[in-house]
Amino acid sequence: MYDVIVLGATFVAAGIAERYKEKCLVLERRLQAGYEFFGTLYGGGEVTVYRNFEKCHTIFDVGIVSIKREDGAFLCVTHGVDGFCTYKAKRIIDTRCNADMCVSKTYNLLIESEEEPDFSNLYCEKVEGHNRYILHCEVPLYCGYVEARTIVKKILEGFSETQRLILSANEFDYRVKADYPKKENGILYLPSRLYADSVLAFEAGLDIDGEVLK
Amino acid sequence: MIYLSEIVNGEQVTREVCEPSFEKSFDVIVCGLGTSGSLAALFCAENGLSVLGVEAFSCLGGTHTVGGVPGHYFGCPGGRYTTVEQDVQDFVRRYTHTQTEGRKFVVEQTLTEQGVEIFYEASVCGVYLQENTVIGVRVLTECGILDCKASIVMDCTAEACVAVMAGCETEIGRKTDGQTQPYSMVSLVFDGKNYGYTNIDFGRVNQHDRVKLSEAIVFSRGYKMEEGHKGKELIAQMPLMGVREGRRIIAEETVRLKELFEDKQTDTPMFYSYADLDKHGWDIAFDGEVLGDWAIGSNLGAYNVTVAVPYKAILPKGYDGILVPCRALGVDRDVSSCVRMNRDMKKVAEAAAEWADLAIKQNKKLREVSYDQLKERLMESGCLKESDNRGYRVDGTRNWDGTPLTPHSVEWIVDPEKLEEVLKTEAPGRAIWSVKRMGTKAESVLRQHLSATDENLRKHSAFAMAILGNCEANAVLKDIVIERDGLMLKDCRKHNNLRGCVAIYWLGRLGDREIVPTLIDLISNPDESCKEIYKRENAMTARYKMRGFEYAYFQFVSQAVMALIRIGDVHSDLRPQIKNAFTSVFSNDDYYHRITTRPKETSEGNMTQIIKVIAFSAIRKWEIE
Repeated sequence: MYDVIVLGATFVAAGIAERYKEKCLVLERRLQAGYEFFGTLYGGGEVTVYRNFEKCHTIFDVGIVSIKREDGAFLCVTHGVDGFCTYKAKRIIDTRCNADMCVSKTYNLLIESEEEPDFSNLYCEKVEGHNRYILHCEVPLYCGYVEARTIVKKILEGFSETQRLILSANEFDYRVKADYPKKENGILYLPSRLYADSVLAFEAGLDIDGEVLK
Repeated sequence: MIYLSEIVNGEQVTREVCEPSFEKSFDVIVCGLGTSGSLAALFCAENGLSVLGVEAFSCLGGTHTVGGVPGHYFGCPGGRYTTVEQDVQDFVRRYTHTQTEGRKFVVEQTLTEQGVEIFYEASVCGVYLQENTVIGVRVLTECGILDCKASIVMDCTAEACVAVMAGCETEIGRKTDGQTQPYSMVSLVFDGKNYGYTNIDFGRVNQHDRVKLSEAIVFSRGYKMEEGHKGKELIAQMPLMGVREGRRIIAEETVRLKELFEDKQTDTPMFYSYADLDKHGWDIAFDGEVLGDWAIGSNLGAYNVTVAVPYKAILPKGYDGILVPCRALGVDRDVSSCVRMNRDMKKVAEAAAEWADLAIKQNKKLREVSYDQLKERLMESGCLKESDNRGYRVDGTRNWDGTPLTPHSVEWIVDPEKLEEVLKTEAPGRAIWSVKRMGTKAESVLRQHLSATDENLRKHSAFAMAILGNCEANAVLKDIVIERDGLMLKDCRKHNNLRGCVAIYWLGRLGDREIVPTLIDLISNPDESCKEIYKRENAMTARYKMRGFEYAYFQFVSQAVMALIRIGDVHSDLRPQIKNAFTSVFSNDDYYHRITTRPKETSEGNMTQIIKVIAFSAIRKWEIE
């Protein structure tokens, strides 16, 4: 039995891993850590975050099937490359994010533009030292990726000759509701995207038994 | 009776289900919307079938998009995918720097316009069967579990995940140690002018073991290469790992390299695959004898081959209602490194879609569909063209030394008198393989060449004699090994072997007992690695100039270990001597440090460790015997 199972290999999870080390199990559906920032195109530090996941047990490529309580512990049923497998822990911290936890979301694009882009109603962030920009395209909170890319494609159609898409996001960029973190049915919900940047998220994980829980 | 089949803790578990309540029903469910799956779903929908696509990522395309492999490596153009590709190129020209982004947007839009329902961030976790016919799947989505019915399920997971759940038989890895090809991590980089992808190969991974897979992800994504990204700026790591090889189904018709080399071809092809037997592992010494005779013994590893892929290679043996139109199709391990390229995956998607369409519209089982009808459709689209049956060829853009390469067909020599001309060169592979094809009629000519003063003719004739299983030239082969002949043969644009390694290979294949002391000295003498031959520039150009890895020495040691194992296999009295040598050399890591300074989890470190694993496996096998 683990002391804690963390759902999502996020930056908050990286902080918790640093704190709990081998007593911690991190479960991640994707093949990447820190996806809530990297997957939304906030680059940098991709290599270093994995060092934290060396310190704990981390399982990638697993979906969460169910979570139930039994004899004061949590049983977490997962499905991964070798089928179903159940893990047990004293506590569960969910660092993932979904539409129910959020007020809005964007689908981000990394673009190259010779001049500063001028897209009305879109937040555009310059990547320092480059002619690259992160374009935050607001999409309906409950829309899927197909719908999001349909919206984004219309934006691409407004590109000038000197503007080019470099990369589109693999994840939605969520704006989390103000009432997080919170605890429900014994599970602590601490979405990593609650924090403005990856450093703050990591520190929140590191401080998991300090300020956050109080 | 209907059964639900699942995998629990790595084991198949099947239970009876009286009345499954399917929430949704489709003509076709495509599991995995990667290179093949996305197009299989599209072509099915264009044929008027109702389609559900299930994909683990948040977009489609797999290796062709989130895997960062945008282009086409060989294969034969043609078929329905070319129309889609045109739309992708139009999009790329107008809006983006990268093919992968174009594909992501265009294929998805086309799919949805055709009415394909897509479940992203979802995976199949169970299969419904009626006897040996797949009738539906259980899907794990972000919102929970959903049971869906289908006339035909397409397993496009690249790993035969659905087929394995259903109980279909599969194979994986090479015979010597079960290892697959090295995996790589791909990154999007910027060189100051253009955006492109760069991949770094790591060691082998068992991608069906969640712990080992996860350890590999943590190591490889966190590993900072000494070389960095060769001066390029890292933009992003691609989310999908570059796993090159996985499970392969045992199909109703499975293609095997041995039969390909015997010119045996299926008479029911769905398309022709065309590429080299593209092995990324440098430890080719352990890749088996069928491939070894070709890639090592004849130095033809980068020659292109044509494979007629039978349509029944995507139907798991004994099953119906399921097709496996992806990398996991029915080919053996040696052929799989050829039949995995993007064009092949697009063509297999088309064949599967047409086959499914015929079955559903004619209300037949898959195995009842007429090949002639399928063939007609595939020929009409250009997926199957007799002109694609191009045999063996030298292809590519650059020779090993960077000079321009002129692609051409390979003509095998049929007259023994014509062998000399080629054997005299530093590219003797075509002649050596021709000897294999013509058989013993070449022996008398080769026998004369063994006493020739021309070094190339004498040595290469010895290789040709060896490929016939004839030991008459073993003395010449031994001389080549003793002098540590480091000449790099020059048949191929890449993967060329050193002549000394080829000689070791053949002495092992022929079970030559007299070479044993030399080979033991080669692997055990600490001064061996300091020899000039291993430092020569021409030796290093044999493959990548990798810092911290003695490529030429690695090749000699790995070939020597495999040769000693082969010799020990046929001469049991030599086993104690070989066993003592292996135990002495591999009981510590001195041999490792002589070969590489790289970490054990890197591709180079992994391959260096494999030498030891192979050696100890042989000892265990002999002890049991």
